[in-house]
Amino acid sequence: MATWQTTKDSLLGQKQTKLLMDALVYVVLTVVGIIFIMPFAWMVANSFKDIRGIYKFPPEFIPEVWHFENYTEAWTATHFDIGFLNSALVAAAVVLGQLVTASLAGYSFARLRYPGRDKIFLLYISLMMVPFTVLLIPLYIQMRAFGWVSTLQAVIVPFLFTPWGTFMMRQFMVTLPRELEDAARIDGCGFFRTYWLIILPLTKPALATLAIFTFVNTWNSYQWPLIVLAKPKVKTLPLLLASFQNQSAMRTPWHLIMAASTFVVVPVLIAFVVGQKYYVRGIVTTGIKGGG
Amino acid sequence: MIRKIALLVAVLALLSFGFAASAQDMVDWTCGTVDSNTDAAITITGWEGPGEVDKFLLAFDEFFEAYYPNAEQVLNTGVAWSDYWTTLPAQLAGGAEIDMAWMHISRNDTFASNGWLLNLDSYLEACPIPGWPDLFVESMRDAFNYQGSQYAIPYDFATVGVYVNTDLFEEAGLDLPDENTTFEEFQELAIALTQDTDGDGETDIYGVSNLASPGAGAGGLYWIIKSFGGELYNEDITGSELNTPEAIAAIQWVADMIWEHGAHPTADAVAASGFGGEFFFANGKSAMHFALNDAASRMWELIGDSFTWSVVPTPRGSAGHFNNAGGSAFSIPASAAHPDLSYELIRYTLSNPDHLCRTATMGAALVSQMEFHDCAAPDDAPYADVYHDVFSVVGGRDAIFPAYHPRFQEWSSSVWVANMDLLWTGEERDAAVAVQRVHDQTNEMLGG
Repeated sequence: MATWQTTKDSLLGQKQTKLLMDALVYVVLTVVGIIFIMPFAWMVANSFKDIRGIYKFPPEFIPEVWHFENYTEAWTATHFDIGFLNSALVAAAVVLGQLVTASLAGYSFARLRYPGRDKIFLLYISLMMVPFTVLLIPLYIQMRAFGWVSTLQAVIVPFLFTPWGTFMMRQFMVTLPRELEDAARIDGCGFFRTYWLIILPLTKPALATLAIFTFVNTWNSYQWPLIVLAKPKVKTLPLLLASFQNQSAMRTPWHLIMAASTFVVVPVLIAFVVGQKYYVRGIVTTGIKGGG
Repeated sequence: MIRKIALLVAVLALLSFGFAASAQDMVDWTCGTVDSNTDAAITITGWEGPGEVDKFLLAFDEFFEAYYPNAEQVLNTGVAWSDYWTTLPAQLAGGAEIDMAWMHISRNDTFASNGWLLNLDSYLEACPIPGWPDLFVESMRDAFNYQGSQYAIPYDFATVGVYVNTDLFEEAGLDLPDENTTFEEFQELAIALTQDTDGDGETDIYGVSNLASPGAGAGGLYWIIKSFGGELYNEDITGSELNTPEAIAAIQWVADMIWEHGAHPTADAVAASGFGGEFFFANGKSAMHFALNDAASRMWELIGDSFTWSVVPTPRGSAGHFNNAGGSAFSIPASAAHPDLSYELIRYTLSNPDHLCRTATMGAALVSQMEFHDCAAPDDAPYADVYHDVFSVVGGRDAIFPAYHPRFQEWSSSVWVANMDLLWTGEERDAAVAVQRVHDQTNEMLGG
């Protein structure tokens, strides 16, 4: 009886300890979550204030008066409708392009056998080490020569190829069992059919990861579009967002920037929520948070 | 007889007025070098975004509609200020066909010396800008002149004033400072106005804000150094002259406001506000605030009816009264595809009296033509009665700025900011130490 009681007490104690530990973990995670979400919540709260409310001391989280008109004012202050279309078009084209080129190149580097394959792969991924700033002027000159300055091609075509994406696809593809390919060959598949019917379907998780990273990077891309896109009709969202900044920080319409930032960040937020597990997997697989 | 003479004088006066008016009406806003049917696409790039750029866009539209209806404007305005200075050089180095670019006094010499800007002397000679040079603010004209040639035409002008919370002065029984207030008297005022209102040992109201902060360039302090009798560089800008007792005293005066007297918010306090020094003044937490005139309209918006305030001139030093000036201009890049059309557009935008008052009213800073400085402050603004005197008359008269030589930005970030930040963060309290480091490194860089 005493033994049973002791065991019961011990189990109850373990259960209580586990419960306590779980509660502690949840409390810590909740606090960390709140800390992480605060800047976003602050942005949304400020998007409903007027400029005086933003500068107010002591600061108020909930606006005294809700200025919903900030959203319409920010939307109409510049060409956000065109900006959304441009950003969506560029992001879609670059994502699609990178999925095709990176998966083909990854397949080649992972599975095909040809002289100098590994050296070419090393050379290709070494491009990740070249800072993009170094390429700005040569790339601009190239775009001018093609007559692509201030066209969407200038922000799509140079980014259709990705050493980082190729590296990721190759790393994923080398883990796939060779037997599947051999079986396909026996059934009469050539290289391309094997790639299309066997390799690609098995690579979906890696493709999804690449798609999420590429979408977020392209959607947020700023420096290159700023240099090469001069015409208002081709500008992407980050450029329009930055146009609110004034020479003097004091004259910057922070309330409009907050409103515009809120509606600009929504697609990225959706992409992240939908593909969260692939995003995390990408970081775990490659050790890199997004590629160029 | 007297009546006849009076009549003659009146007729002559009317005639001369009529001639002057018709001469003004007859200004040809084209220079005769561009075909009026041109369908050229003129590319314009600048940092002013929605709101602030509108004053110019109206003038651009009017110009093209009246003289070149088939030409197209490609507007790349609203490039963020900090990005503009990395983007534009990359574009120009890549041969971008930009026809007109916003320029700033702090960058003009760098761009001109790199051969990125068109020398405008021949344009000014062949097709003079009405009012040029006499009606334009002299210091701004000079600021865009590099080695004797004009590389940009100034469009605005900004000077520093002291924004004062008159309620706090009244409560303390103190008189507002004026242009004869010395730096010592100003410091005494700042100390007297600094308050710990709830007695918790923390300062609640600072005497002064926005004198210096980490990352601040030399431009904002140069006028104080000059007021004390100091100088940044030697005459031919081959070395430093900063390690003089006068320059050191000027910088020590600023550092003491923060660390010795606690009359100015520390860098940590400013960072905690999430904004700049204006946060303190707008919330009644500083009694005096140094800022350019372009801050006035936003200050009005932020303060509303919370307290009464005004603007007064900067203090006077032993070497005289000086004031920091800034300004921007329109330039034509050397790689422009349509420089003649750009010049005409600049000429029309910056000198047509029909719209300059509108430009002045819509803009935050003063326009470059002095005759239109009266238009800048709205009649109902709290600063309307003093704005013109403080910023245009006194500010304009005593306006100075550092020698913005071609390597100024490089010097500013790697020498000035790197060492002066030690003072503003409190890592170093002795101005002589920071100044000596700037002095030595300046000589090393400029080869003195």
